[in-house]
Amino acid sequence: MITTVLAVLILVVAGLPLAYALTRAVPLALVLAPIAGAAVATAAVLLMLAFTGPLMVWFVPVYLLTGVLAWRLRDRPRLPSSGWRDAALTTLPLVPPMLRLGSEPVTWDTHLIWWLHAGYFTQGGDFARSAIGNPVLTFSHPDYPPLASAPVALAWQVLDIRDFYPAAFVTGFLTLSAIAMLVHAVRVATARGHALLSWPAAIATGYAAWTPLWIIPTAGFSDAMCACAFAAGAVLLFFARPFAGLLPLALFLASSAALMKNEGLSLVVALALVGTVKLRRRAGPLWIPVGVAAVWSVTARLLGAETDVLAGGRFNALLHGDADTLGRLPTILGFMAGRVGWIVLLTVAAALLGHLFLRRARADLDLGADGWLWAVTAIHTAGLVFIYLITPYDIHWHLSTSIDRVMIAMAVLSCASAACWGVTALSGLSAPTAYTSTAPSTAPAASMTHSAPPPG
Amino acid sequence: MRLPTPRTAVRLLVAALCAAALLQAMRPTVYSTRVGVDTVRAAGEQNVTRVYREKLEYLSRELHRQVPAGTRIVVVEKVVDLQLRLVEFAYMHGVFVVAPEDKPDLEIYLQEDPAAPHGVRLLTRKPVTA
Repeated sequence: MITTVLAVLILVVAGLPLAYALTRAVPLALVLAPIAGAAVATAAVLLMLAFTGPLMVWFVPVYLLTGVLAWRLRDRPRLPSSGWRDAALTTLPLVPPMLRLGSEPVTWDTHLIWWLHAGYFTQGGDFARSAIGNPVLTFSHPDYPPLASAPVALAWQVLDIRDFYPAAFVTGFLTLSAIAMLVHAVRVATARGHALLSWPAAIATGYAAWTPLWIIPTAGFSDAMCACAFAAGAVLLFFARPFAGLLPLALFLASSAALMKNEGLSLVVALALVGTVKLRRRAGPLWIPVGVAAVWSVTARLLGAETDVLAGGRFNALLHGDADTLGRLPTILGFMAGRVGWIVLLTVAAALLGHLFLRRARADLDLGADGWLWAVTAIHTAGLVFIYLITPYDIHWHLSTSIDRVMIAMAVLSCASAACWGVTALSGLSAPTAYTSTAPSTAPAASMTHSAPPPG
Repeated sequence: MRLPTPRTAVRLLVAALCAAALLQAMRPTVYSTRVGVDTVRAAGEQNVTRVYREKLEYLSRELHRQVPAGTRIVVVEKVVDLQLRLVEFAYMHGVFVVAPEDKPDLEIYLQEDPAAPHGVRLLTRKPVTA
């Protein structure tokens, strides 16, 4: 019990300076700290893999650098919705569905992917490099990104333990932090709506992280954290009211998502492509998360890791129009629809109606246009369909073992859209309230702001 | 009773569609909460999963105790799940797992033993060269 509490404390303390540098508000920094701690640990792991040596030798300077960053940025304006009440409303409603975190940590993926990787990260650079390239470990997918494993390695290393419960709670708090940041993002985006509409909508979006399969956020998988961190970043980029401080936070969340799961790469590429169409020359920063993902992809390839789906896949068969390969399409779409079909259908219907009749009301709330987020969702989904089409595995086995996890991104992105349209629709039924953020209203506009749609 | 204007009706329809989508998405959260409450209530009770977790922790400790870090081992175990878990524990403790043809220093294997904790012993032996 004590080691579990200490492990979570290490995660939070490791991330607090970076989280403060990104938010300039202690309450919101505490919410973000687990993801930031994982990011700091991940940076240390990447440096360790590049230059060898023990993990702590690289963690300490990276940590000190985040402290310097926090100190230098301390006078910048704090982010909106970052007070104690906001932090409480962001996180406390998520506690009941996270209670299952106390169950026995024995799941296969958690142990044999994320904690096995954490295990070799604790052993220093040379050992970890050999492990990643070891064909014996192909079953463990050493090509998977390190952000879910690195903080576990850090906690184990500092406490000199290899216990399962502390690892489970570190992973769980990381997921909780990502979901809470999604709640925060939707709240910030809808802050011009009535608080009694905005907060429930934001919290409901966070609850969508348990869809389609309730067990995923608390069973040590990294899918929910990846989906929510990405969705939080995308909502801040596309929907939120222009505010310069939000851009670094949004890019940080998207970059973190890119290092949580391979699907994160597909998400950030979709974000960068859509952002480039939307912002053209000003879209450069949106490629930062892609660059971050590329750093890991190149590192993993150089160390000899292979991506099982791409190695021996059916890409050539697909190019030649192979009937068996293309014949997988109805099965893939059927599995996807079975998980999130109703949610997407209802949300698309609401978005289309909103686009036709409520664009002016949406602009009044300073909410960015919805189509960009749907474009990201569509491109990412097309990427998933492509992977399932070319997978070398039996398609039914592959779908049944993964679809519940990879559909979380579509669920939370759809629900973020629904939350924003819901607030828009209901805000118009009563007089809109004043914007009550603690952020200074004179803050310089971000270079990556959304442009309000023309009045409909 | 006055009928809503078309614009109000559209707003109500959009709100209803959004609410339906969000409620549908929240259903698994309710179930997770129920399971979570049960988990907290049953904390400390003995059950099959707990016994399994304790067995895994015991095997991890045994591997750490018996096999020095840096050793190259091969895991000889027919039950795939246990075989892979032993690979995991090896990497947690700095032990390198290799293929049988890559000249391991040790073989590790499990032997059922009712007298041992959890009914199983983790043992090591020098590899038999062909």
